[in-house]
Amino acid sequence: MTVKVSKPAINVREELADLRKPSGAAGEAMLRADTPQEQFNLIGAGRRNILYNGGFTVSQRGDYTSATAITNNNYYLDRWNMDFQGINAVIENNTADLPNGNTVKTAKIRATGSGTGYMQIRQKIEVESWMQGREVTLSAWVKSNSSYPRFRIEGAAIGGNEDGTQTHSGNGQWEFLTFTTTLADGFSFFHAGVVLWNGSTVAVANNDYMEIAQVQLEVGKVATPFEHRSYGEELAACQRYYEILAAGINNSASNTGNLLGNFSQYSSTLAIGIVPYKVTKRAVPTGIVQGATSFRVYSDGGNSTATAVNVDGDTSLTKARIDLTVSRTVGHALWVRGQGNACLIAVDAEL
Amino acid sequence: MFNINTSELGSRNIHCQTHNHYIPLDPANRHYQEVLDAIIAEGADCFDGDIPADLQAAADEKQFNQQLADYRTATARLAQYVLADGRAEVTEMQPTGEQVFNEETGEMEDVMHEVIVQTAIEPVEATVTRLVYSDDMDAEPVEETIENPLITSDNAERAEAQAVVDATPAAVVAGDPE
Repeated sequence: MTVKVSKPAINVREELADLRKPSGAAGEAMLRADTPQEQFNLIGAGRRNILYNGGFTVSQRGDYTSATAITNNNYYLDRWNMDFQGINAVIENNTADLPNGNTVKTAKIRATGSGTGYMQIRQKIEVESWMQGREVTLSAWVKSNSSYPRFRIEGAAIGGNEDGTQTHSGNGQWEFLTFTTTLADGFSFFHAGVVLWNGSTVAVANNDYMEIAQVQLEVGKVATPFEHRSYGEELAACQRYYEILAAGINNSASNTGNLLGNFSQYSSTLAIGIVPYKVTKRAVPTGIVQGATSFRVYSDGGNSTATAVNVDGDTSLTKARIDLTVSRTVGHALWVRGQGNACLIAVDAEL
Repeated sequence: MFNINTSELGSRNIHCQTHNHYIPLDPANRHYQEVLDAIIAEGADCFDGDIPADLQAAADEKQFNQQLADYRTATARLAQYVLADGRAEVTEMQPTGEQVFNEETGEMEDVMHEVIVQTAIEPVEATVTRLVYSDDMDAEPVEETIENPLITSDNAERAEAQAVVDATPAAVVAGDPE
């Protein structure tokens, strides 16, 4: 009898060895994914951070390397709004080494007296249609001597305002916190932030603080590593909401320079200039003028100082019209610069 | 304090004298909304000169919408059943989808059956008993009977909602299409 033995096309031993390859839960999930899109979502690839300036690198309004007193509902570091009740505090833009090995900029909020209330640093986010009803995860490195700091989303699907259940331990060390929730449908904006409270106001002692770094809000139920962006990209993104048009020569608020632009003398006492923005604004912005009598107007080989500066009602999403009260020759071209250290013209289209 | 800033060429915006801000007449601008809030809260006191008619109208509309939203929230809260009373079962007769021939009328008629459209909910216990411990470590705890905290908070929320309804101007109530 003849017995025919044939070798299979596949090596059964190798196939079995492949099945014994070690793989973790995440690896298994990748293997189970049906489509590249599913794998893309699993690893959180692509642009992820919905927040602007989550790394606190952009600070057009000032240099907060030393403690600066906070006014409620004001902006300091770009895009970050202060929401306070019952507590006086200061903000600092520090540099710190995180446990993940990154040296980063931080935002530190510190109470300067005791009181009962809360203190929150938050970002108001324009909702785009794709965000409606999506599950999102907020994450950040948090350091505090209080056990109250936690995440808060205002505009969540459940209950409107939702606090994270995970809190800082209050041990004064950096801890990585996360919070996953679902955004509501039908909102035009929502807030995401870190708040020192426990669902209601709390007793805060002098020098209680919370310091945060690498804040990220992303779609999905997993916090992925912080998405680093270049300073230029982050600055341009923030300028949709706030932009300095000119500042005084040594004004610490900006390194934008002191040149405002070219103007023309419209009447014997009024010079008008159109100053384009670098970035189109979210809404027609508010014109902010400081040190109005420190802007100097140059023409005909001479100069005069403006006695008033007015950001006019013609100001739009893309350009500001600036009116200077100054006496120069009618019809002549002028150029204008901020002369005094404290002078500044900015436009604000924050939410 | 605000005033209207009108240029030589006729363009207008709002000048905030306190902060030297020039605020556009744009509802999407947050400072514009703060101006409307100030007009609602302070009236003419926040304005240097008369409040322009268009700004006053915008403030009135914002206040109307806020009051209407509050009124709807309050009436929705009051429409919830009272925890202390519970809720009665409500039934109604609905067609089953089946039809039979009525020999007397000579027409097909729906077969009806009774359907529960609102389930009954028992009232919560009116009171709860709890143990109260004194500062004396050796003393025995004493029992105390108090109103059920669920009823207490329900009553408080209902009273708050009723106060909102009572304070809502008739024009807002009349303007509610719901």
